Amino acid sequence: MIPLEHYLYLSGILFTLGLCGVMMRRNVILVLMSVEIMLNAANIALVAFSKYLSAGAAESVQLDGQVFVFFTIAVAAAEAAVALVIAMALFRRLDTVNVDDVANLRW
Amino acid sequence: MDTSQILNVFGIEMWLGVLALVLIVADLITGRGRLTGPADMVRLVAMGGLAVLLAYAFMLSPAEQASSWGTLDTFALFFKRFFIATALFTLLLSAPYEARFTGGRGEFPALVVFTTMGMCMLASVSDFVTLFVALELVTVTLFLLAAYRSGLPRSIEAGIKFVIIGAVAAAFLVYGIAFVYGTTGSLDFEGVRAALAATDEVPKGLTFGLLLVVVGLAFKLGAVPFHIWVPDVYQGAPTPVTAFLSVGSKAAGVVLLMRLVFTVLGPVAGQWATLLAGLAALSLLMGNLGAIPQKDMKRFLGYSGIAHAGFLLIAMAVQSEASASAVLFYMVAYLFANIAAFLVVIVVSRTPDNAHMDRINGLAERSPFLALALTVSMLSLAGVPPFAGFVGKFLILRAAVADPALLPVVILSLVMIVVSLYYYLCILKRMYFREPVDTGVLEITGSTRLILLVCVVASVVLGIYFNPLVVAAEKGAAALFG
Repeated sequence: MIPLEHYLYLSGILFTLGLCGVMMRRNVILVLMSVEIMLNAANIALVAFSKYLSAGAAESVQLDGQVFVFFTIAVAAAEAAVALVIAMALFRRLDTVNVDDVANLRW
Repeated sequence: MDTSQILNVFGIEMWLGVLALVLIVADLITGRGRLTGPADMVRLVAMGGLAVLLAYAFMLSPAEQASSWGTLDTFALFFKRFFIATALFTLLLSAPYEARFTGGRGEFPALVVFTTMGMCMLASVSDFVTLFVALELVTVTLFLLAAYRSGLPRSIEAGIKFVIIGAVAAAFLVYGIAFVYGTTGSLDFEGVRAALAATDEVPKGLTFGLLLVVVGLAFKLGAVPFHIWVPDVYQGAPTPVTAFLSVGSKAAGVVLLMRLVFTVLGPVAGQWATLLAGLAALSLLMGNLGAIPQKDMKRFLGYSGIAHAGFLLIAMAVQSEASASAVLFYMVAYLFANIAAFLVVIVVSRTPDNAHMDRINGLAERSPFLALALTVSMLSLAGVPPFAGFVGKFLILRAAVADPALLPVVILSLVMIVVSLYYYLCILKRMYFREPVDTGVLEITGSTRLILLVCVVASVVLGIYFNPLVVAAEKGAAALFG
């Protein structure tokens, strides 16, 4: 069995990559994709934890974490739908998907 | 798995969901996007439904036995009433604003009711899964509400900024929950609390996870350093939505943070006090100093909201029953002051459609009543006696001085009250001593008068005759320590 740490390293790396993507990407769509990577990093951690917590207790299988993943997937889909609607409104109204161009509200 | 058990706890939420669906159908039947008549009817139905549910929430008594689905204690009930009242005020506020929803306005009440449903669920959560789903119901609908005027660049800008930062905060929250689950093997609050109480040395993974969860919640509260979205979204969002955000969304953060800090973190509360006090100090500095140079009323109120988040965080750092009840009182005082302020902004910012501070210049000449309402609201926010805001600040600081470790933050907050007095009084100066920039006649409807009157009277009465609300707040807070 692959040790738990490996999964956590993977999820940690994905989470960091996603966060970097959010901060450095300028295209709204790519920023939203980076957020999805962050959420999926969390999902990997949840499933890995769920699996390894069950391995410890032989008589009871821990499914809470895996069930939670379904919730995050569903919620992330709803969130992405709303985010894309707003991104589309942005493109229609301001003719851009570059976050740097959306800076009229300041100070 | 007993459905009646779920309905015991989440009865109000179910009815809110039904109401929202009815509103969507009503909007479809009466003609989508039509701009007169029927849309008003949809709003009236929504307000009627919320009023009935508010009365229902006041009649409801807390459930005796805890259910694994959630808790319906006095604390949850207090906030459920608070959230429904806030939603009702938001819809009342949207009446004079509705003409500016050029892209259809039928969905607006339905979205507000859905958000309220999520908020009411948050008041009752007892596990991290429900917490996440309810919190996302609130945030996602608020994204839509912030960008509701999709024809207006600043509303879209507010929406896109809110979406990106909100989604990142959600990712932090889930990642944190994953680590809490991984180290304790439990997703419900009671299990995590037990795990924290069982060990002397808290595992690093658990602390890391809880830290990320607090980050996700601090975002909702609008506390530094997770406040960057606040000024922009407050300025760009439609004004009734800003009012809803400033009161409802902040209270959603407050209710979760209180549950987390006072119950889940109970066994290790001392270690978190420093962190919370630090966030409080930063929020007080950022909010109060940031508010001074503002030239837009809504942005100004956004910074003032960050400062108020600082005050609420002081109370969380104290972690006593007195401080918890002070938070409940503070939120109610904040509700009335903010609703009045935003309603005045709505009335004065009609044409041209912006909330620049010049618009309130000479308001006392144009409408003494509006000027009076904004005066009371500003003084209550500043914490001047005899208004409700003063009692709220007094209760928090009285609870805070009991803890000598928090003395620096208390002193800082006192200095910041003086700073805030300066910028709130600048608003009064604009109203009473400057020449008006606008000269048009202000349209003040009967309902506007009524809401302002309610807010003014409540701010004054709660400042003088505060005992009943203090008792109610103490009863609500006691449930957390039960």
